Amino acid sequence: MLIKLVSKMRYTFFSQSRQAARVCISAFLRFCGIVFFKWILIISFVVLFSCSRPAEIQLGGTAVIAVSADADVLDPIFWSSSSTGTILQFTFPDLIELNFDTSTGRTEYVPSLAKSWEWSNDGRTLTYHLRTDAHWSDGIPITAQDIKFSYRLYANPKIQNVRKSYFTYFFKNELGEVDMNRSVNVENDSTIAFNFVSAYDRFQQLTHTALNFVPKHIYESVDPAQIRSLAMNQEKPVTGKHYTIEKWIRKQEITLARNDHWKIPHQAYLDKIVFRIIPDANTRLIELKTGHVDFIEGLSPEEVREFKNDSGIRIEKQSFRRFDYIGWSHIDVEAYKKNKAIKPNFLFADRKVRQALTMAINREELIRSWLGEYGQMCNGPISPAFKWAFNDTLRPIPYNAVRAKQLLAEAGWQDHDGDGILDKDGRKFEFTITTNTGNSRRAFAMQFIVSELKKIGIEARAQLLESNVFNSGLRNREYNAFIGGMNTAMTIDLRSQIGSNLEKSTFNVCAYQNPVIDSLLDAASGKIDPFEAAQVWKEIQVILNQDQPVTYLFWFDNLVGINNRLKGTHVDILSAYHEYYNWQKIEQQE
Amino acid sequence: MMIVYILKRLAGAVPLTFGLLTLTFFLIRLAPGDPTAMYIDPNIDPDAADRMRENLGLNDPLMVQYGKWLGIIPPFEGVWQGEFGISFSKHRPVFDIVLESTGNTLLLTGGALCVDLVVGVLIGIVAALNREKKMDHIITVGSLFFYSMPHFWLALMLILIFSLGLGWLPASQMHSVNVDQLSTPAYIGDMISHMIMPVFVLGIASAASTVRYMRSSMLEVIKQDYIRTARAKGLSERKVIYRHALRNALLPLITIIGLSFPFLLSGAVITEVIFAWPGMGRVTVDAIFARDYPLIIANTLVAGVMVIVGNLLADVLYALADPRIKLR
Repeated sequence: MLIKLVSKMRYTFFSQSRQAARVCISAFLRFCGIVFFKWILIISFVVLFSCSRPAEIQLGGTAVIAVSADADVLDPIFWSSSSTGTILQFTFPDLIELNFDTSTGRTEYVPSLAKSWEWSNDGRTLTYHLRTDAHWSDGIPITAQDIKFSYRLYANPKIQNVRKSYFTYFFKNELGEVDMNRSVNVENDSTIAFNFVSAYDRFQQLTHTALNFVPKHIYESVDPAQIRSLAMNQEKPVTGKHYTIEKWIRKQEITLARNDHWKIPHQAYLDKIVFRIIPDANTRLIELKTGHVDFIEGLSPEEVREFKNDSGIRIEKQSFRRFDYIGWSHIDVEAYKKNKAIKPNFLFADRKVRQALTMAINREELIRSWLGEYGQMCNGPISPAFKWAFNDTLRPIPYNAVRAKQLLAEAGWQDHDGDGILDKDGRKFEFTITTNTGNSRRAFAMQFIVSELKKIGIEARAQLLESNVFNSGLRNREYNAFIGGMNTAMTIDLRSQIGSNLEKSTFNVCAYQNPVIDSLLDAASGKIDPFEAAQVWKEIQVILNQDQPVTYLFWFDNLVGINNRLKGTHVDILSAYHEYYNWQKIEQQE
Repeated sequence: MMIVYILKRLAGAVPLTFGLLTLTFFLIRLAPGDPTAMYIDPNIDPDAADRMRENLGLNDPLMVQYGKWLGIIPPFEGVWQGEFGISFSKHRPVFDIVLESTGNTLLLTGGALCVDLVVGVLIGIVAALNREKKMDHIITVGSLFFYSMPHFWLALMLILIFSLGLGWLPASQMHSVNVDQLSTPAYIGDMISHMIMPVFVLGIASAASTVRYMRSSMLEVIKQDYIRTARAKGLSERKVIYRHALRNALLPLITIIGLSFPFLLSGAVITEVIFAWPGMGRVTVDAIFARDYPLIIANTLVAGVMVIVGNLLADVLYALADPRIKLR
């Protein structure tokens, strides 16, 4: 065809015949048309063929997840362990769900059972409008009555729920109990309104009204005093989300089967999800390698490096959610233990000393040695993922052992007797630093820190305690120095970590007290729109950077190993199991 | 006479068991740690742990807690009434939890005991009959090797070889996923394939010690006059060994079996953890880490009773097997 075209064009040019030119143009156009049409066809076919495959939804299949511990109870009202929380995420419905916008760093709520919600003009009433097409796993429709009934259970003093703080802004009766009739109003089966004593942070209002709920028709005939016992013993509760509990063999496995009654935003793709309880980390790893398990979280960087050459397994990570820190007690732990007396700690009460301690530890080297690419420097309790509140103008205190020694000298710590250990007023700078057993990351960090402090003349003795004993000591503020960790919540609320009221601030283990911080915390919690507190959080970070109440070490990733036949996973800051309903098992790729 | 002896021993065991439980009650409360540690969590109310301590009665004076545990002070729901309490961590009656794991543990430890006895006795006999020969040396070195090998290491090596390397055996749990869909023979086969490695790990170390016992016991018996007499009578070597020597050489093993009895129900912690076997060992360890006092006491009771019954059984069996022993 091309030859014909060229010959015709030649003819046209040389003969300059009008007729020939017409023929040529017509042939050219025909040629172009045919070629164009052919190519369009081919491209369309290729595009359609290649694009349609990933978009195809493969229904069915079973995903196997290995977890270290069994659930304690399959009920949203009584759960407390994280292993139970994971199962409930798949099985019990909620009004709204969290979503994290990575571009703005904002956490927002998105519709789940509630299709929309609005506040009254005074901000004291939050009304949800529910979908009418949701059903429990036994086919009974889910209505606003179920939600009010569940909140009644949560607030019942006989039930001893551990989330009583959610009811702070609910109306109370003369006995101090939650007045559910005033606080929760069911307008009809698809409309429910929560009334608060005063307007407060709207994000918190949503959080406090987003507790999972239980089926009223199952629980209403049970005496509230017996509900705990019922909940603890039921192995196949009626559920209401994408999955229902098909089988629970204690200490072995929990099998979830798809609940065809739940289609928000759509039905789950997998038929089943099996949680296998495998306590030993090595065995979990081998089960992932052998293909008996599709998904495990909590891998160590060392373990992940083993998968570098394994094409069948991919690694996804949850970043900026957990950090480790060294706590320096601001109070005399002996005096506090004796009669809760607050006296300054001889070693660590001075801000210059704490700054020097942070400066003396080469945190970049520590991260490089153990976490590698799976850890980032931590400079405060606010996650860098929360871009709107994170103060990115602050620079972490750099490693500088010489300057650290100068600061210590300014604080009165010098080696007066020449034994290599700093001393002040006849007392040597020596202490015990404690952490829990069974955590290789912290054990490594502890040895690293001990050797770094030794370089500047500080004698730290490492002590490892069984986790239960260690946590008990933290709770009682028994340690002069310790290595601990925090999981950050998806809302910023630092009062429990840095608030001065030691009775309420459970996680302020070091007993840091600063009235300026308290007033800033008050200012932040007083905002109706939480994002308006951005400047306050940034200011708090500046003060913390100066005060160094603790030495923030590093953010470490939650590393998740996933078999490549499991598609559609979306590990993000919210959860390793986020949008689990999109998971698909592609068996033919094995 | 025998029944009176057994009743006497059982009567003596009651105060012994009670003393053991009382000692456990106080010792576990003296240990550092907190049963409400699980409630120290940013997602849980700060005062939840205190409220749980109050609910569980942990704020009462120690003697009041003991009185309640005994059931001699209100609410009169204690050991005297046959109530061993509700697990702090699982919130269920402790004996429900213990019973769930008992069958699994018996399966594992029973299998291990069979391996122990069959392998230990047979190889012990072979070693004794080949005394000071090459075979004896090989068996001695082999048994010492398995005896000194830590369980966790052997378990991991087996998993690496047979699960990861060869893919012959499953690495963990009692069953495969979707085992319900299998036919009965396939179901049994699936369970056996899951049992092989943990049973071997548990059984082989005990078998190594049984080999040593059996070898020395057999050598002792072979030297006896009645064996010489049997040979002098012209009995075949096979009859001498299996009819005369073996029966007598097995006597000391009765004591060993009796002492192994508690192990049958107390489980094997490390093996159960590595192979994710849902047995008593894991229940006990979890209870200790969680400071679940009622569950720890229930486990102590089970283990204590098994020690007493095991010893009693050994004495009775010994008396039955050896007419020279008379029980008073």
